[in-house]
Amino acid sequence: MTYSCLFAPGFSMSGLNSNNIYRHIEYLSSPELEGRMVGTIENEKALDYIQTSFKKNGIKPGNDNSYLQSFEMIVPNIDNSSIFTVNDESEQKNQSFKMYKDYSVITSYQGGSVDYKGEILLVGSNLLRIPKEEIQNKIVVIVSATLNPERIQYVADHGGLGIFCSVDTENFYRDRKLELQKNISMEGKTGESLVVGYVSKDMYNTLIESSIDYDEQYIVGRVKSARIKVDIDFSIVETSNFIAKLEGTDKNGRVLILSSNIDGLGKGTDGQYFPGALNSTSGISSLIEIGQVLKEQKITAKDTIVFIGFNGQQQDYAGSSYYLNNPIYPLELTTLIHIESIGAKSFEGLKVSSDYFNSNFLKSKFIQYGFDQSISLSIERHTNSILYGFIDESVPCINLNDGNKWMNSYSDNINNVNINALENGTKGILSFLQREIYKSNKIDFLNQREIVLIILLILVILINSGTHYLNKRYGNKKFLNISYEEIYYSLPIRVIRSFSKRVFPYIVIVFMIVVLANLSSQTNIKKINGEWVTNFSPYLLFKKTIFYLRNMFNIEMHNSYSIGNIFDIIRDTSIKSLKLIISALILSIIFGIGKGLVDGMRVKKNKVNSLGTLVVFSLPDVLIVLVSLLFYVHVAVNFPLFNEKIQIQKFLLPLISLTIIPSIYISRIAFITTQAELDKDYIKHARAIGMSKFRVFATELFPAVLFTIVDTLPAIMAMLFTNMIIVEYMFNYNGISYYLLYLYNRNDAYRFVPLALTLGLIYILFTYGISWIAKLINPKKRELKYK
Amino acid sequence: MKKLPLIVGGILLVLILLIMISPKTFAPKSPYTISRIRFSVENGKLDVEAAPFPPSEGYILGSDSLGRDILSYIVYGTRLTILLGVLIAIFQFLISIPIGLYAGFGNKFLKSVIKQQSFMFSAIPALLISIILLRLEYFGQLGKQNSVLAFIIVLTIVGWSKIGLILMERVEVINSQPFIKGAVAIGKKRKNIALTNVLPHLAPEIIVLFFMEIARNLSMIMQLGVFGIFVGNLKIIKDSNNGVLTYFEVSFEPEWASMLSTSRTYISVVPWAVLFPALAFFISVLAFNLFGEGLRQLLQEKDSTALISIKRKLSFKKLKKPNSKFMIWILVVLIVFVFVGRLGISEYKFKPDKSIDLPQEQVVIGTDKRDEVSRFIVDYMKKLNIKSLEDEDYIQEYIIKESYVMTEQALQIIGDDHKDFLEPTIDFQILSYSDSAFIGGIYNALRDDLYNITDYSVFENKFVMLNTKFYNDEAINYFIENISSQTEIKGFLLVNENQILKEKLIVVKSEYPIIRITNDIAMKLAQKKQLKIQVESKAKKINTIGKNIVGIYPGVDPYLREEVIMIGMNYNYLSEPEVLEFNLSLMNKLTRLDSNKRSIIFMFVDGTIDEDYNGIIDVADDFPYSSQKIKTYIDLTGLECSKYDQLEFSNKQAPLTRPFPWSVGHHLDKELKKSFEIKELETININGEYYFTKNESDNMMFWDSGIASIIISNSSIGEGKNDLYDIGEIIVEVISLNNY
Repeated sequence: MTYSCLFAPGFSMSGLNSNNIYRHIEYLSSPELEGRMVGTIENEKALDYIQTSFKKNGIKPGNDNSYLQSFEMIVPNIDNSSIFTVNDESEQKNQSFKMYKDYSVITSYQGGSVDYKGEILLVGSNLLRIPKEEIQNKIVVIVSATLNPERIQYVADHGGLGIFCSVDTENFYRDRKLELQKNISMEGKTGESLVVGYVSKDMYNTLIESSIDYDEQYIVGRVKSARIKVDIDFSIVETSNFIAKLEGTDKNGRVLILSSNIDGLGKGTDGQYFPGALNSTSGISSLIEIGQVLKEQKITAKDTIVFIGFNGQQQDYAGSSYYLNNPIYPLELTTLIHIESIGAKSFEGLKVSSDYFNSNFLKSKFIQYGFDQSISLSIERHTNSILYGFIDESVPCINLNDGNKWMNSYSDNINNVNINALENGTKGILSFLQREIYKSNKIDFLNQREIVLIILLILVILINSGTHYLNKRYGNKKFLNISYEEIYYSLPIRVIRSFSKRVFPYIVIVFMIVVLANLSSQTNIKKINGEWVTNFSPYLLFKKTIFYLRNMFNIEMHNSYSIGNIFDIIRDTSIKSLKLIISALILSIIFGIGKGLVDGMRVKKNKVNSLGTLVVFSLPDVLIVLVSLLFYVHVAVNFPLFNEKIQIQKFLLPLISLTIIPSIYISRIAFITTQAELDKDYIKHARAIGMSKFRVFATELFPAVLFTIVDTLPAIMAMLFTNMIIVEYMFNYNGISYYLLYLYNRNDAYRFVPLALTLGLIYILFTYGISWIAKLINPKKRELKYK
Repeated sequence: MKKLPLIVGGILLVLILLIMISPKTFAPKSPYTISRIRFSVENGKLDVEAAPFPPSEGYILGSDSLGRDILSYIVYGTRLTILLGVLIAIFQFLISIPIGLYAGFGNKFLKSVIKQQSFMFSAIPALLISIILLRLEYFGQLGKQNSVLAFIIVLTIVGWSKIGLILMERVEVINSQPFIKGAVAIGKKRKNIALTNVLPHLAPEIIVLFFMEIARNLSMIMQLGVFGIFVGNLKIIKDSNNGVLTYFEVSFEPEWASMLSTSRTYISVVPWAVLFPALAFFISVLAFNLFGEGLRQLLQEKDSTALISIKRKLSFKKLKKPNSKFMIWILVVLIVFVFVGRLGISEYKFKPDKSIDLPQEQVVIGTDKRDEVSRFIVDYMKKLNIKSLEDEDYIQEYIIKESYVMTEQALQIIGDDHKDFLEPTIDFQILSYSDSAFIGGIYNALRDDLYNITDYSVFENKFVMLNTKFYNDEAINYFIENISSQTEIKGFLLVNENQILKEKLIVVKSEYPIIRITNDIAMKLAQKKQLKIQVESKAKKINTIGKNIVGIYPGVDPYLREEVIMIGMNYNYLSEPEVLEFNLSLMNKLTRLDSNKRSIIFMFVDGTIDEDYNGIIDVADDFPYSSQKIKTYIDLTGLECSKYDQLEFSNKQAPLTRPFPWSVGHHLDKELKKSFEIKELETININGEYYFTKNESDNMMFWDSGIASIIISNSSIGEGKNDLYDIGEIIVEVISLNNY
C-alpha cells in the first residue's frame, strides 16, 4: 500500500504533445476534406484518417472487430447554387443575394425546396394579422426576434410558399451572424415543404428599398418580382460512428466514453466550405492524442475507456441517438465525457456543463481534479443539447467546450486554434482520467521535510507504545543488558513521552481543523444506476490538507481581497467575542455569587424548592435568545427613537442573553456551597465567638464560595462558548464564531483555520488562566502542588 | 415534597409518552395538511387570509407559512424528536460505558482518548463541529431513516467523551475503595470485578446521567435546528433556472427542530411558529432534567431501597427477591420510549366489497358490456351517496372517431413458391384496417427522398414500405396522404427498428390498410423484389361514444369542500374484473372515512386500453369542474393488473410550488417506497416542468388543465406477488391524513 503510494510507476502526462493535436485539426479541417459533411466521400476520408491514427497508436476496435458502427440516417442537402434575386423592372437591374452571407435557409420545421417566381411580401412584425388572401402563394419576409414554428405554421396554413425572417438584433441583443449559419437539422420537420430561412438586416433593408410602398395596413412593402430557387434533397445515407477502446482491468464492465463529433457542415457557396476546425475536429483530434498518451502508460486503467466519434451529429445528433438506441456497452455502466470543442483561447478556460441530477458528481470531480492540476476551467450553466439523450438514459455525462464564437461559419478554421488552450483542455481530461480511471493517486506531492516529519511522528508513536508494552509485559527482561523497565524510565524515552503527551493533542487538533476546513460542503454520496457515487476524493482532501499545512505559516496566503488582512480579522473578531465573553463571565459571577450568597444566608435549611431551580436550569439558550430577539423586535417597533440611541441589539441584548444561564448556574452553586459551609464547624465557631454576620460573610463564607466557583469555571466556560455561537449567529454579532460559520460557508479554508485556532487558543488560555487563578487564590491547591 | 421533581418529571414524561404513542388523539389537525389560504366569515363578510395564520380559533398555536397547524405539528413531531434524543443518548452510553470502564481500570490509551476528545470538543465547541459535519450536502439530502442515523452517528461521536470522562472518574473513585481492594485481594478477575462490583455501583449514576443526557441532546438538537440542520431536511429545488439552484428548506416529517430554522429571519413576522416549538423543547428538556434529578434524590437517600435493588439487579447474581417494582418501571419507560416509534395500527385497510358483481368478459370502449358496466358503476356511486357534478349527468360522454374492434387479421408473404403467414402483434400490427382483401407487390421506399417525390408511378398498385424512423408522425401522415392522393396504392407498411409492437385492439378504417411491421420482416421484404403480400382483416364497428363516469363525494368542511381531490380510475378490462373491483372498493372505503374536509371526485375513465381513445383526453379538454379547485389529481388508470411485481410512480407533476398536491405526492412516495419496489416514471424536463415520456395521456391533466398530477401505475409483465389492496391502504391513509 505504502509502496504503491510512493514508489510504484504512476500516470504520466509527459507523452502529451499538443502539436500533434494541432496537426490532426489542420488535416481534418483542410480544404481536402471540404467540411466532412456526412454521407460524402470527404466524411469517409475523415473516418479513415481517424481509424488509421487510432490503429497506429495501438488502440483496439471498439465494436467487436470493427472500428465502425454503421447506421442509416437522413441528411438534408442544401444545393449551393441557390438563387435569390430581385428584379427591378423599371431600371432593368437584377440584384442577387448570396447564401450564408445575405440569407440562409433552414431544414428544420417545414423548411424545404422551392422554385419561386413572383412577389415578396414584406410584413414587418405583423405576420399574424395578415389575411389569407395576401399570403397565399407568396413568400413573406418578417422581422422578429426568432423564427418560431407558430409563424411558419401560419404561413403554411394560409397557403404561403415560404417565409424569411430578419432578426431584429437592435431590440434583442443577439449575434446576428448566428442566423446566417448553415443548418441541416430536421427538427420538427413535417411533410409540407416551404422555404424557411433568415435574411440579414442589410438584405432586409435592400428589399425594402426595392419594394413599392403600398401604404397598406400591416404590410410594409411588396417586392414585385423576385426569383427564389432553393433545392434541398433529403437523401438517406449510410454512415458510421467511430468506436475504439482501451480495455480496463476491472471486470465490473464499467465504461468511460470519451466522445466527440466527426462530421461538419460541408460545402458552402462559391467554392467555400465550412472547415469546422474547433467545432468539431478539435475534439476528435484531441481524442487521438489522448489515445496515444494512454497507450504509453505503464499502468492499466481500471475502467474500460471507449473513444467514440459520433457521425452525422449536425443532423439532430443522428450518430449519438443511434448509439443510444443501439449501445455497444451497457448504458447503465456508462459515463460519458463529450468534447464539443477544445482549443479556443478564452478567459474562462474550458467550460464544463452537465445536468444537475445525474452528472453533478462527474462535473464536480472533473473540476476538482482539473483545478488540482491548475487547469483553467469554468462551469457553464446551460446543459448542451447533445447531452439530452444521455441524460434521458440516466448516463452521467459532461460536455466540454471552449466557447467557439466562429461556430458554423466559414471562419472556424485552423487559425483560431490555440496550442496552449489545446494543451490546457487535454490536460484537464487527462488529469480526470489519471485520478478516476487509472486511480493513480500517488502521493508525490510531499517534500522531503514533510516525509521526514511524518516518519518522525510515526516513530514517536511506535517508540511510545513499544516501550510501554514491553515494560508492562516483560518489565524485568533485559535487552542489551538493560531491563525494559530501565529503558522505559530512561531520560530520552521520558522526553519523548512527555513531548507526545503535551504536543500530540495539539497536532491532532490542528490537523483535524485543517481537514474540516478543506472538506467541501458539497461532499455528497448518491446511488446512481445502482452504484454508490461520490464527489469526495480522499486523495484531494489529503493533498489540500498537506498543502495547507505547508503554507500555514506563509502569512501572505491568509490575506484575502474580499475580507482583508488576516490579523485584522483575528484581532477584530476576537476583541468582539472576548468583550462579550468576559463581560458575560464577570456579570454572571457577580450576579450569581450575590444571589447565591444572599439566598443561602436567608433560607434557613436546605428546603428550597429544587423544582424552581431546575425549571430555570432547563431553560434552553435558544429559547432565551428567541425571547430577547422578540423583546428587541418589540422595542424596535414601539420605541424606534430609543432603540436608535441605545442600539440594544448590538451589545446589550447579546450580553444579557449570554449572561442568564451562567448566572443561574453560578448562583445555584453558590447557594449550595453557602448552605454546606454554614453547617460547618468553623462558621459555627466564628459565630459563636461573636463575629458579626458581615464579617463571617466576608472573611469566611465568600472565599469558600469563590473557590468552588473558580473550580467549576471550566465547565461554565465550555457552556459560554457554545452559547456564544448561537448568540452571535442570531444577533448577527460579528464575533469569532459568526465569522467561522460565514467562512466555512464560503469554503474559505485559509481564513477558517486561523480563526478556528484562535477560538481554540482563547479557550485554552481561559482554562489555563482559571486553573492558575484557582491555584493563586486557593491555598489548598498550592499545597497540593508541593505534595 | 422532596419527591416533587420526580413526580412532576414523571407526569410530564408520561404525557410525552402518551403523545408519542397516539398523536392523533392530541392533535386537532393532521400535520401534513397544507392549506395556504383560509376563509372565515366575519360580520357576514367572507375573509380570505393567507398563511401563516396567527394563533386563533382554528389554529390554536397558529400555522407556519405552508399553513400547517403548529400544535398538530408539535404533537406529531414529539415522536421523532424525543426518540432522536433518546437514541443518541443510548448510543453515547453504549460507547462510553465500556470505554469509561476500561479507562477507569487504568487503560492509558483509552484514558488519553477520552481526555483528548473531551478537550478537543471543548476547545472547538462540539456544536460548531456538528454544524460543519451535518451541513455537508450528503446529510442534507438523506431520507428520514438515514438522516436519523446520521444525526445519531455525528452527535454520538461529538458527545460521548464527556460522559466517558465522568464515568471514568467515578470508576477510579470506586476502584480506590476498600471493597474493591478486597475483591482484588481474594483473587477476583478484573472483568469479574468490573461487572459484579463496579458496574452495580455505577448503575444509579448511569441512570441519572442518562436522563440528563437526553435533556442535553435535546438542547443540542434544538441548537442545530436554529442553524437549519434537522432530521429529514428536504432541500427542495425551488428554482433551477439557468442551472442556478435555489433551495427551499422544509421538513416534511413533523419534527420540532425544523421549525426553529426560520427563527433568525422570520421571528418578527411569525413569532408563534418559532416560540412554541422552542417551548416544547423547553418542557421536554425540563421533564427529563426533573426526572433525572428526582431519581438522583431518590437514590441518594441513605435508606433507599431502590438503590439496593438496582445494585442487586445489576450484580449479575440470581435475584432472591422477585422483580423489584422500581426496575420494571425504569425498564418499561426505556423500552416504550425506544419502540414507541414503531407503533402504528392501521385503520386504513380494506377488503373487496362482496356486493360488486362484474361480468367476466372483456369490457372495452364502445361495446354493450361497457354500457352495462357503466350503469353498474353509476348505481354503485348512488348507493355510496356520491353525487353527480352540478347540472351534469354521472356519465360524461365524448365522441371518439369511427372505430372498429379487430376480429380477424391475417398477413401473408407470397413468394414464387411459398407462402408465409405472419403472426399478428409479433410480426405486424394493423393500424388502419380496410374491409376487403389486398394483394400486391412491394415498393421499397425506405431510402427515398419522400419530400421531393418526382415520379409517383413507382408506387402504383404496390404496398409502399416507409421507414418511420427518420420522420415524425405528422410527416408520415403527410406522405401517406400525398402518395395515396397521387396514385392508386395497395397499402402502407411502416417500419421502425426502434419501436416495439404492441397489441392494438381498436383500429380506424381507411381505404387501404396501414400496417406496422417489424424490422426483420422489412429486411426480408426488401431483399427479394418478387415478393407479394396479402392482407385480410375483419373488424366490428363500435359505438363512437366514450363514457367517463364522474361523481363527487362532498367534503364536510364548509369552506374547504369547494376544493377537490380527484381520483381517476379505469373501468375497461380485457379479462379480469379484479382491478375494477378494487377501484370500486377503494371508492367505497374513501367515502367511509369520517372526516373528509375536501370533496373527492371519483372518475372512471373509458377507453384506457388504447392510448388514442383514452377518456382522459376529453377530461383534460373540458371538465365540468373548475380546474382551479381541483387541488390534486391522483391517476390510477394505469393500474391494469391485480397481481404485479413492479409499481410505477411519479410525483414529478406535483411540484412544491403547489404545496397541497406536493404534500400528497411526497407522502405517497414515502409510503409506497416502504413496501414496494418502485420504478420512477421516466420524464423529460421542459422549461422546468416534467413531461412523462411513457404515455402521453399521463401528461394530460397537468399540461392541458394545469392540475397537479400524481401517477401510480403497474405493468403486466411477469407474475406478480403484490396485491392491489396494499396500494389501496396507502392511498387511503395518505388521502385521509392530508384531508382531515
